[in-house]
Amino acid sequence: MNSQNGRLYRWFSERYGVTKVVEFLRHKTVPVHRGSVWYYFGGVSLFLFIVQVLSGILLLLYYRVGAESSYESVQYIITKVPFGWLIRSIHSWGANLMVLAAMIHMFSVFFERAYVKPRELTWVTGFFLLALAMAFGFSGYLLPWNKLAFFATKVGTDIAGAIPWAGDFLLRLLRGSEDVTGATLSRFFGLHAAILPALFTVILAIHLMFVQVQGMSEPHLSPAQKKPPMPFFPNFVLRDMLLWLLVLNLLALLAVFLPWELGEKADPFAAAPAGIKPEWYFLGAFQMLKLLPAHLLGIEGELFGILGISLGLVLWVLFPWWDRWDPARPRKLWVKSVGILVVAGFLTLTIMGWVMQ
Amino acid sequence: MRLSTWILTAALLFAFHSASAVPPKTDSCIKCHAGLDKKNAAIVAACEQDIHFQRGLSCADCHGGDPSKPDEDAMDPDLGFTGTPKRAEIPHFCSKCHSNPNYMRHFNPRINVDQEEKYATSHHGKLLAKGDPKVAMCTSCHGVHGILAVESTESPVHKSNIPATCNRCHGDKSYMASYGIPTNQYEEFSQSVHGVALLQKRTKGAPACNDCHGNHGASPPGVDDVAAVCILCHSFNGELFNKSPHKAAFAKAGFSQCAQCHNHHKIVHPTDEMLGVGKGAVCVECHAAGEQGYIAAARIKTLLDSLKVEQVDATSMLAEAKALDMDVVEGETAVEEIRENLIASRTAIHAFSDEHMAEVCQKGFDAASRADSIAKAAIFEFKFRRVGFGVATLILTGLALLLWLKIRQIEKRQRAARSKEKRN
Amino acid sequence: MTSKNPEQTNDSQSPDGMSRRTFLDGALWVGGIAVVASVAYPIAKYLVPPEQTEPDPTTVNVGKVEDFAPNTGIIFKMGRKPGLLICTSQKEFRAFYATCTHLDCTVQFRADMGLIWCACHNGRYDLNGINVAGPPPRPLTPLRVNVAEGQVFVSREDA
Repeated sequence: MNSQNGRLYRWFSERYGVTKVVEFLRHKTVPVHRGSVWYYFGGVSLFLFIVQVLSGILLLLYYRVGAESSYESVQYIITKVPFGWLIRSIHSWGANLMVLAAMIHMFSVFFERAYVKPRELTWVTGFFLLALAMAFGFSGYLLPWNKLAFFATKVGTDIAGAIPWAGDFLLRLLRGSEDVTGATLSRFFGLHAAILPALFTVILAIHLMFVQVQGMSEPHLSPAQKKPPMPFFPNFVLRDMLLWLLVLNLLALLAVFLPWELGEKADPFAAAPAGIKPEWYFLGAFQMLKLLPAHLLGIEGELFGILGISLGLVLWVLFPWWDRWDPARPRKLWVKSVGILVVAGFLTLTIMGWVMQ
Repeated sequence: MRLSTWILTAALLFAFHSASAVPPKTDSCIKCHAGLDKKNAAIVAACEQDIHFQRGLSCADCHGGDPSKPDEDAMDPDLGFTGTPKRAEIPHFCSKCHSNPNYMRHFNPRINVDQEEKYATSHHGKLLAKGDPKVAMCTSCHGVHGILAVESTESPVHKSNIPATCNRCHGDKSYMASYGIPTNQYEEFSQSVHGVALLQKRTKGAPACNDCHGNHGASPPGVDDVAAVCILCHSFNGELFNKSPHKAAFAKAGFSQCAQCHNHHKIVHPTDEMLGVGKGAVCVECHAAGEQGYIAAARIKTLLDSLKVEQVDATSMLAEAKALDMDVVEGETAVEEIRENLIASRTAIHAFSDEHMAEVCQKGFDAASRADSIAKAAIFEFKFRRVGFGVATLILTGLALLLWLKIRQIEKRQRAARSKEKRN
Repeated sequence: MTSKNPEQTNDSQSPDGMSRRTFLDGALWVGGIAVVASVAYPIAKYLVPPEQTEPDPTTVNVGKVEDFAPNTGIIFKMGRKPGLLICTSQKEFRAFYATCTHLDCTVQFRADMGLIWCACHNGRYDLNGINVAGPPPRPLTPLRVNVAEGQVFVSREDA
């Protein structure tokens, strides 16, 4: 902003309302309180999304979708292309960290009850962003066309087939054929590199717009507990950048010391290898379906699980309408209990899925 | 299984073929001889599995006579009865049929009919003609009554049984005493690379005695013929040898080509130690120090040895890179090439030219240096990644640290400004 | 919220703070540029295509038809393995993986024998790649040959 009087700045401000934006940013503040640290996870998710977009675009330069070329081209990227191993590993690790950051972001919002009026739609859009991030993960996992991904996708899409009436149709729609084949690969690639990014960008823009318009949610504290807010610029922005640098460093660390493995090429005729498991963020749901008995309440256990999870997700996304703000009750024990129960259930199932193979 | 099907088919074909011509036989030979005495009963019993019987022949087809006659009239010499042939007559006895292509065609159109002719040229045949009763003739190897098809593993002339069959006579010291030849061929052969392959590993392509000596025309190969025999399988080695300076030199010295270095019956798998001028090297048996051949032998050995060293080095270097989880598939291809080149080089020795050897080995050395540079590049890349990460961490965390200082500085100023405002 | 330039009041009082501030700003610039460079360097390197421009190709252009004389054979690179292209006396093209089925040596075409021949143990294959003599236990793995616009293309049979 030093260049406020610079020629370039003047050129733009004469044509566009730059001054308004600058004024907005100058006066934007971020509340300071006990839970301020959780604000950063939204920013970290955003940063990781940017990393994913950039590394994804770079991978597109060499990746060639197809049952006969996907594996080979990824192998080529990580062995022949300079720094290809780095880009690919960052993309894989970044995806996982992004889902993790978004989850932390969501649960922090939940526990701070930041979703209450007027921010119901911010919660809903955020929920869809996380769902899309997981869809990114699921579709991207198959793209190297390796053995583990092949069978994980087979098992994952099979779940859709358990849905009554529409199951077979959904299965075909997902796979592009009866089985997981090159057609599935093309479909997942289109989803991963075109449809999902477009959807995600639009919803992300809406989500961010909501945050800008309404400002960040502040816990309802007594005036005595209140601290003066922090200027968004430069205080919060610099902190954000500091954290982003550390996240980038973490990504580099993971990429160098724990390079994402490629494994063996998928062979549709080979027997399924032992220990097929989905990405960690699906592990909880996967484990739950495994734990359910074959028949429950007169329907198939798997179907019961799918219905249960779906119902749970609907209740979750509509949570701002269950829990309405009441100034008389700034704290509600049942909300906290629901949150703890969900987190504990998710963690338990995930760890069980991890350990029990 | 396949053999029996084949025999059955052939038998059926033959039966069909001859059904109209030959009326069903009532075989008085078998009837009588089976009850004659133990010896005769055994003969009749043995005939049951005899290849000739299985193809529809019977006693009279070899021994003559008329088996349709119920009593001793069947053995009337006027009816062609010949009785038991004398030892010296046996080759001709068999060749009545076996040298007749028109007759043999009915059984197997591809069968050879030159056995008697060949036998006459063999050492055995010549001695038999001179009246030596001890030498081998048809039945010595094939058996008498109860002759099995050569393809049967029970047959004494099945490939895997030939060495033992020959050894029955050739390994018998007292039997062979009058001929003045060694009797340890079987012993030597069974220790040889060929013997191990044939007798222990049951390799189909491994040679038995007859593959070098011939069977019906069996004879020790002459000095000049040794290479001609070995070259049948070891063609490239033979080709190189024939073009090499050793060809003429060996002929002049009366050496027996391949066998001079590799032995006759005890042909063991050659080792690299046979080469060069060191201990166990065969080259120094003729070449004295300082001679041109001595120098060439030393150089050929050095080339081979250094290629082996290069192979070991490249392999361990690649293993090191692989242990670091680096992709060195192309390096492995290069190492494979070295291995291939080592095989080719060991063959190339037979040109007995250090220049030729150097030329062949060059490919191996090239592959070795390629493998080496691939491995080194991979190891360098591994280190580069870690150093690069270190530098990046310094930069990223360094900037983060600077940002932290900057934030502190800004906020200190902001606090100072605020407190000043309050005071005012 | 606060005045526009709070630092002025502060720094004018302490020249020390002033110099520390300029130093920190300078360091931030340097650090920022270094971060941009350390991100841009791998990306720039990544953008330059490596020498082997395609991963494990399914089709290889071996050369022009007129470059092959009848009764000749050449070894070419089929991905990571060697391939053998033969131009028969009838000017017909045939291709195989040049890996001998005995001990994986590279086979060659021998015009004098009219055969494919392995130098390691005298293994022989006919021009259909069928093992006909010596130790090879199996025929050579065939490749597909296509001629288009005067160029000879060899492809993997599974492609």
